[in-house]
Amino acid sequence: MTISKDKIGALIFFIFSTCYGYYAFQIPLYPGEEYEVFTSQSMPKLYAILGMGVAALALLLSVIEDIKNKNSQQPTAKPTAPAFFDKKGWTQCAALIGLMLYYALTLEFLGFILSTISFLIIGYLILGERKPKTLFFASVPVVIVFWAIMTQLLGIYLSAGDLWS
Amino acid sequence: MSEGLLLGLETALSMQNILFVIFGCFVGTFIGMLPGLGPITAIALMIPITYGIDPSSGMILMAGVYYGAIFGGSTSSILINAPGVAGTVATSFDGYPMALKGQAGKALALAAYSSFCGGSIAAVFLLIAAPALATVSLSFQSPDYFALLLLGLTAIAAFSSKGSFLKSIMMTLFGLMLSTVGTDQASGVERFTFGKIDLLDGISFLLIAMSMFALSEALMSIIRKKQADDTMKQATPEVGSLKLTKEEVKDVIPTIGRSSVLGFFVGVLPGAGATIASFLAYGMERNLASAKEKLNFGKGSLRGLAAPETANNAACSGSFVPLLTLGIPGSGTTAVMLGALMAYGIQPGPRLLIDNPEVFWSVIVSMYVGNIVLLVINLPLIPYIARALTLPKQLLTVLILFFSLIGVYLVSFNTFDIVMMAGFAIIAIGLRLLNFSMSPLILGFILGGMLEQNLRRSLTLFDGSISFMWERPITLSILILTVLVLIMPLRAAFKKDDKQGAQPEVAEL
Repeated sequence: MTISKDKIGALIFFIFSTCYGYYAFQIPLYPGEEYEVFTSQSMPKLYAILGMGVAALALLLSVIEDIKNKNSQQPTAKPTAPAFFDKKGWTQCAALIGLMLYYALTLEFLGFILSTISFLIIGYLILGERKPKTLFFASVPVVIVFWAIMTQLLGIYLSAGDLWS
Repeated sequence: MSEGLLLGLETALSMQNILFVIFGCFVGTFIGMLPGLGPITAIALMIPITYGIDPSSGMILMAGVYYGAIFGGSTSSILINAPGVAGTVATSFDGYPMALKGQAGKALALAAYSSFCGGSIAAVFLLIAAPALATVSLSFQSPDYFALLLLGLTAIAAFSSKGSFLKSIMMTLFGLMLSTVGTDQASGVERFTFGKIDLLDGISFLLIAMSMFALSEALMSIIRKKQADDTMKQATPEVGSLKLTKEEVKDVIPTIGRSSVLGFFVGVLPGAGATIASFLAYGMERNLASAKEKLNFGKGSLRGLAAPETANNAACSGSFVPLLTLGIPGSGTTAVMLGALMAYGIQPGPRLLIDNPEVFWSVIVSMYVGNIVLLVINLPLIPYIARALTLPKQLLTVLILFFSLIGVYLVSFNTFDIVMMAGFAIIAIGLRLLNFSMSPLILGFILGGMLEQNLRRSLTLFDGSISFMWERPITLSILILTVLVLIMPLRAAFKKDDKQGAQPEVAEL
């Protein structure tokens, strides 16, 4: 039996639905609510059951398909062939996700302007931009103009930074 | 109707709203042109801006972005054979060969004229169908709505563009599950908050839309960098003359008429949308063509280009019918619009025509304005907008990340939302790698609350009995239709394996 994308997806969803179902039973009810037809737990429980059922069906169909292919001696559909997935791309993607977390941590601490300028410059650097001129013009003016539109034109408050206050 | 139309004209033709349509079409074209980014991303990026303006203007802006993005997708399909959105894949079949023959300008002009005609004809249908359907649906009660919502959720999975029915159902359920996070509106009980105050209000729809579409599409473009680079490296052909001869116009007029009607009706069906409409129109046109003409399909046939282009725009207008009249979105894009409308405090559905007629009518009128803008302003600017395809990808990607994050932050002013976005982006990347479609998820998430509310009300109305499912003829009819929609693809899933072969890496509609 090969592990195809379908099976991985169905299996993950089955586990997720099971966990979701478990927590659905933990939703607190008011005294006497358990005798009502429809409670806060009703829909979550229904979704969990349906989720497990659909995931199980998807898994079953994948297994049947495997057996059929084996019997007819047809080559099984190629499980996964991520043709264009290079290591560099993955590293950059992970670094950008880390950068988002950095932005969340620094936005209110350093203030919008400083935090955003650093976010953009680091982001460009991660993706391979090295020209200082481009790094500067694609970050500082963008942030200043955005900040001016938001605060001066639309009157929206943007954090000045806890560090400076 | 004439009063409403006048109200719509008055609203849509105000200077501010015309500027919004122009801006929306321009931004939509720009984003739609970038391979991998579709109308959902374009609209999601616009939502934070629309919070500061009145709902009519917001909807007008988003409608403009929608058409612009479809048009932008056609441009990249024709110029570099890289459809920005799924609805324009069929456009590349004949559009790109025309560009290779040095007729890129002609192909772009034909695409623009076809889109204009398809959109305009469908807007006339919408003008007639939407108020009529809204009047009928005024008699709908909670049980009917519950059934309709089920139909909408099932249909989008059944017609899912990625072809895998069970996967789409799983994604719909995932969306429904996410919609239960937060405080239960009826009882006030906390559900799945794990003691976190930030989750008490639930997960914001904008956060889900931004992370599942904008963020994950931008990040996926890095993972698939090699493919994207190869696409971008292709020399953008010279646009050339935009003129069409009289004979050519005569040749495509019947095609445009047929495809408009087909596109509109396919668009009205929940879940079908522009992608299916464009392929159906292309197929229909090829079948209707003479044996000699058939040979030209795929090699630069004008009819082969006009058909999908007309149908996808007509379907875009058609998808507004269920949204405006029943409050049920017909596609992922209209689901995002529904979420935005609900965030404004407006409930789409039959009451929209009565409670907020200016929103209802101005959206319809803005469709004409949007189509004219695309034709008059965007078409001559295409050679310049096409330069977007040569912009450094690394700058664009980071800017999209920034606008997505700040867009959500500016609504909640809570940095926890940015952390959640990063988390959902990771989940979305995983799901995309496993070939899961995101549209059913967003639809399930948005409709989840309404589904629960209507089921609760129906049960209260019928003393806790589920007899409303068969006692009300409308409910019963809709439920039978839902079961049919559910059974057909399920049978197919049992009969044959899922065709998941080479799926084009395009944005969803």
